[in-house]
Amino acid sequence: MRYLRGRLENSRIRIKVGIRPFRDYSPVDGNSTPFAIEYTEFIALVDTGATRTCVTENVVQKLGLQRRGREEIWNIKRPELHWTYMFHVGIWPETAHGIPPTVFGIGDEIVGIDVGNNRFFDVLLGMDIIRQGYMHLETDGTFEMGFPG
Amino acid sequence: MAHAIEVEIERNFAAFKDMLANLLPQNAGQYALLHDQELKGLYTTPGDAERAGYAQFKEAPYSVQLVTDEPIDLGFYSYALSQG
Repeated sequence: MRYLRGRLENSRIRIKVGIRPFRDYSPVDGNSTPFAIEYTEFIALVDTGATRTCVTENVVQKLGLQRRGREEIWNIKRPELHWTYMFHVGIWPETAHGIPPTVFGIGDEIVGIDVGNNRFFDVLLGMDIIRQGYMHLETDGTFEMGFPG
Repeated sequence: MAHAIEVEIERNFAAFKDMLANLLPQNAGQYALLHDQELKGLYTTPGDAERAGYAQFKEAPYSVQLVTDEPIDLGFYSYALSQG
């Protein structure tokens, strides 16, 4: 099990996550730009009310995520169409004795949804990721998340 | 190129919505690969659908849609507006 621990910020859980575009095929001939396989660091808001993980336009632009589908999302007033993207989500779990953490990918690739930029986070971590592990809140304002692997 | 992908996705999505009622009984939870407004395959994971799409169409536009009629709730972002 890989663990993340922290403290609530203004009654919210924000964690550092890594996002990696889903590209497991080789570049086409003539494309000299190698595909990035590293995770890029972003701040995520953990949102148990979200059924799916979302990425802001900032993430889409930075990683060059390619639109792959559409989803109809209901907001407070009406349904709206959002773009979807395929990517992996990772974390940098806690380590012992000050050893620098290495990124740990959570499960398989997911299909995430775009949302507008937000100054407090770049990723809305939804239940498609959260339910792959566990989350524990304490009354002193600390939290722990764990993911098998 | 980006515009062509978006047009293809929009057209495929419209076609997919018409197919959805027929797909749901047997294929709910699977991922549909679409090209030229036609269903090209159904896959267990989005990655499998993406691999199949790239293998068949390379850089030509295609799209992947989850077969579901369950509403998506974005929690915090239920108040958000889409990007276009």
